[in-house]
Amino acid sequence: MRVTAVVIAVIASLVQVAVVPSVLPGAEALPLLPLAILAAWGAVRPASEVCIALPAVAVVLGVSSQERVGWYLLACAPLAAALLLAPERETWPRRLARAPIAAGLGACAYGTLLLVASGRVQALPGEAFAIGGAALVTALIAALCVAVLVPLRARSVGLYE
Amino acid sequence: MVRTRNAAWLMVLGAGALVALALSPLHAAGDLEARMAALIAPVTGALARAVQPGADVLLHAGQVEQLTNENAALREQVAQLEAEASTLRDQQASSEQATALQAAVGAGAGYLAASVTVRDPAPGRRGIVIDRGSLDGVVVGQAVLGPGATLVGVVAEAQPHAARVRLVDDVRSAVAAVVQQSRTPGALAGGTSGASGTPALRLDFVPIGSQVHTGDLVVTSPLGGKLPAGLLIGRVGSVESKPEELFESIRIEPYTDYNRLLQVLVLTSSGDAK
Repeated sequence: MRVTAVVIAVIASLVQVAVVPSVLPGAEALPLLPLAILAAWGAVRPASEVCIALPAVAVVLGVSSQERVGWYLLACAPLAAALLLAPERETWPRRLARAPIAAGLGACAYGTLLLVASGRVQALPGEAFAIGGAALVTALIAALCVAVLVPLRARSVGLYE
Repeated sequence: MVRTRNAAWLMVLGAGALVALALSPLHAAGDLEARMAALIAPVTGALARAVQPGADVLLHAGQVEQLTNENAALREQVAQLEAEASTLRDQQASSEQATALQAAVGAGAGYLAASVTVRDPAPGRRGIVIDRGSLDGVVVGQAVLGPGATLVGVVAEAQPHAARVRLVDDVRSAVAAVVQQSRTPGALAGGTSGASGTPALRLDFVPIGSQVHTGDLVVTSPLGGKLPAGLLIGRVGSVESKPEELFESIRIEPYTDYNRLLQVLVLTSSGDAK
């Protein structure tokens, strides 16, 4: 499933680069489709499955941008932390709720870090609303993705299975 | 155990990011990123092109009627402006060509200014119809001059109110000409060049070894008798000598683009041609 996660993440990154700006022209901050999908994947499946997919997302976004790939790796790290450092054994409702929260926080950190990387620290207060809005939409997308990905959730093998 | 492994991986990710940032000033790193960007650019480009029409429809779904009306109004406006601009351009071009022609021919020559009304549509035929005819004094054999008083053709047929002019690059055209610098005589003939059949001028019957060089001027010859001598035609574009041939192969570059003639002068008496 790791390979599937990587493929889906790369496709989502390409869509993020090519399609999202066309659908939302003029938006100051865009919702982050790959982060939402990976947050949902990490919540539904074992979080370690996004270990390869996240750097792949960072690379695709990074090479398509004027900023360097390193900044994108750093910008994706908060989402990775939110997914990987969460307790493994949690009830399903809590696990599923983790996705939108992680996606929202990850998108906030992503937007803030890249704004700082571009040298526009003074614009941060002004952009906070846009970043927050994008993070909110990202969280909503993550919640939708969770609903779609639930059938893929990892089930513990029982005695009679 | 899993959490420890995840934490370790997280540290690797952070360290990798810092290393990537530290290496980013290197030329090789930028080069690598550029190569990867070039790899994904066709995919993202194709995606964007595929999605753009749908995105446009979605984004402007509520404004279809307004946009349609605006579009129709703008089209009408553009058509009106194009028509006005086209008329003004034609008037300006005709006026400029006529003024330049009259200035180039000089005061001594008798001439008639004429407008080009028709271009020969037949493939391979290079001719024009002008709006002056025998009632204006146009007769068969008169020289027809284009911009800069260069020879563009000869009157081939005169009707009362119009005349047909055979351009010098027509395949049936033959004009006695001379290379001005070396006074080498030849026959200026029309034809085509290359596989595309582009009209071309050549100077025939110039013996091998003649002193003809690229850039030399070609003018009408006094030997022909039909046209006034010294009318500028063009310059030598290339000279090729083949040992098995008797004559040089000389291509002439005309000074005038015969496809853009709007105004011409019919030389009714030679005077002092330049």
